[in-house]
Amino acid sequence: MSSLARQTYLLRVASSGPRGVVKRRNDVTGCYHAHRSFSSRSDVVSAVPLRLSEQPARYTARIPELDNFRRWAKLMAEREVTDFNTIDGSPNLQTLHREIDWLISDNIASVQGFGQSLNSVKHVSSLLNSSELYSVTLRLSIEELEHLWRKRTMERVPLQYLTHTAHWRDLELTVSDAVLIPRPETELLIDFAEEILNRLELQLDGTSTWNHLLSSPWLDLGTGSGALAIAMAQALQSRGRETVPLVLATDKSIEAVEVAKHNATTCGVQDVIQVLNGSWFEPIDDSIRFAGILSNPPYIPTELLGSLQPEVYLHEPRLALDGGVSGGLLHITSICAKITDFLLPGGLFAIETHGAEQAKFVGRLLEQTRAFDDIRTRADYAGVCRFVTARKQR
Amino acid sequence: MIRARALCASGRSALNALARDLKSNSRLVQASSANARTNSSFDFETVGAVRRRLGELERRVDSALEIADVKGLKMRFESLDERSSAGDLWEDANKARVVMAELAGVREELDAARAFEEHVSDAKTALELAEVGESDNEMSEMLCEAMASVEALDEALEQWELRRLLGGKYDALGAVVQIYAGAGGLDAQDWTEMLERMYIGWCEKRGYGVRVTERQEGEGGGLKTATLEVDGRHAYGYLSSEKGTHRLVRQSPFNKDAARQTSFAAVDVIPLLQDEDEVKVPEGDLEITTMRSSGAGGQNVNKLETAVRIKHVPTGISVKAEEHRTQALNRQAAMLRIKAKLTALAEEARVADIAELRGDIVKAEWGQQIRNYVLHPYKMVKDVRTGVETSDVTRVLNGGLDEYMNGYLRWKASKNESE
Repeated sequence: MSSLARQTYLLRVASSGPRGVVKRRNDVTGCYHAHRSFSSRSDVVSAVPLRLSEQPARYTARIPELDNFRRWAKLMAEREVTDFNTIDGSPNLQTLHREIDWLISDNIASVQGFGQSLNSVKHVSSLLNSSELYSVTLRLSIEELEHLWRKRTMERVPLQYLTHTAHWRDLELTVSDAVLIPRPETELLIDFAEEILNRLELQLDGTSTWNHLLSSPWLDLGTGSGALAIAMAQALQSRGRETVPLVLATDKSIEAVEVAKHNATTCGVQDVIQVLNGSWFEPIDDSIRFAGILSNPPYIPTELLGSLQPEVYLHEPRLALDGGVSGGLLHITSICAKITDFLLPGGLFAIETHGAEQAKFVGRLLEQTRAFDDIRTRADYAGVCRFVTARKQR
Repeated sequence: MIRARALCASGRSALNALARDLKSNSRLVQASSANARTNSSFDFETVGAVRRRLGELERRVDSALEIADVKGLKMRFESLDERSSAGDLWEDANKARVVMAELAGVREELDAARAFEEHVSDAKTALELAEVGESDNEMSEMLCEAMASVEALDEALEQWELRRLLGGKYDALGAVVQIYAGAGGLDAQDWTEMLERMYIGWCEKRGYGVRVTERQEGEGGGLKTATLEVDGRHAYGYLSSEKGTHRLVRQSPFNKDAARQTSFAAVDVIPLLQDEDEVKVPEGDLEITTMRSSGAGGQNVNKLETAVRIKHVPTGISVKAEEHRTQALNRQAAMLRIKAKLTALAEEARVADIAELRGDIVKAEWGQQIRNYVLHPYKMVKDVRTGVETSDVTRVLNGGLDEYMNGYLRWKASKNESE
């Protein structure tokens, strides 16, 4: 929290009644935002930060000032990147340059003369190189930007935590350091689910006895920011599904549950998602059967955690990463042990893993249950065997 | 095509709206001639709108006439006419038929060109009369006439353009322009940025919408790549003339001896498809990869790297998209791009179906040098294919490309005819 001291926060403090009051803490800006919490727990104090792009415009600047910041930030990146480890996946200079432009772009509230958002008009670099005398309004001051960029390059805080923003599929999600920053690879789990939905709708798997799959909810285990659950809910909604809830999501961390609920609300699916606090299947009623279960559980072997890039091991929640000492399979194994109980016949199970070895292991586990058909390990776009998908026998 | 129709329809509906305004206005005039002043100021607005529209059409007429090469047509007409009236023409009946057929064709083209000019002058005259009209009724009548001419002109132009030069299946669509720095380090990167400026300038002059969607700065300055999305009628048709390698010769501003330096940049242009389902590509033929260097990925790595590359395996052609912040959105953009590229290629190679496209069919057209820009020791921009040239380099680099594009379209049309 202290690392984010210069950022704006919404501090949601639930009162004794069902309607929470909101207390905001704001170290720098004095910016207020009306907010109500509907949490049923009376003792919960949790913080859902405000995304940079949601913050109000408070400063004006001229293009050259912003351009100076950009130059400074690039120099800073160039200096610091020499200390970055090249094999742990640490960002290279090119990626850092992109981060600078995202940061600048999100921080611009408006460009005088455009009245539109920056993205729809100009690329940051062409805006800053432009000879025209634009002036811009900013959300954070240049000094605050500099502060954030020092944190980024020297303390290795991920950009997404500094702007409290993660882009994932077509979603813009709020992230705090209580949740894992959703990864691009994980986006594919939704594609796998969509494949099944397409098959069901076209009745490629045969008969109309699959109707129960079309009317039953989906489950996201260890939802974190809520990315999988929200994208799944939107996919189902866009296909005209109305059964509520469309998606259930669980997370062991109460902070993550708050963030996921907040994201569900900003994405407009709060009424069709239920986010429950608890480990894996624990908060799920034994009688519920799902049409599909998705999960990106912690899978990194404990002994490898220390060798991850600093952005990950210093700043992301260990709870979302640590897969235990036995090859990182602790949580994967406990999920697989119960998966058959909660899936409908024909239902989809899709899970992300550390790579080929874990994926093969999961494949074998599922085979041993003799409850699954069509067990496939599937590669991500970098060619790593990252996922396992399977259909429960009909 | 769809877009062209939509644009055309919107043009027409704007005119209809004008006509409606005008009608209600004349009713107004009849109802209360007392307030004539207000009404005529309203009419002046209408006149202005028609005039603006006419201005746009005139620009199109100019480029159509240039493309049609009216002067050349007239000369051709005269020589054919002479031959057709020669006494011995019918001694060889076959030859005579050929001459007469060509004469008819040339006459048709000239008539079309004359019709454009007539519509323009009719509309202009009617507009002028409307402005000096004595009574409100007279004004309304003249305005109606002007609008009728404008509409007739619009239709005639549309037909002509489509038939003549921009009749390719995707010519009416918007375009994606990708510029890549070639060999030559800083000089080539600088050249890439100059080209980016040139195309933005062209789009702005033409009134096309242009968005820089991706821009990768080079080390030390300039650009490694730039991607522009251009919206506007026939953007792809015109910009397709730019596909290929552009060569710059100048004194290097980055070299302390100011030695003469040659730099290259490649330009690729593909139609801007709106919906990927419009085009079917056999699923197994497309290979989707990230540009992420191999590594553990997943939870192990947090890196803002979401670029996607899609390769069409049978032809080896690949595209990438990296302007969006997520993998799914970049994949969608890349998918639209590869499909657009393949359909455009299928059309060029004249195969009916993308499934028939193979590496050997796709000639290495991309990469061919198409234009030289010489800034030193003399000044000259010359198109290698068409021979169009000018010494006004500055104008070209600011986006004065119409001559080159029209020249290309003419060249392509004549090449297709002779084939």
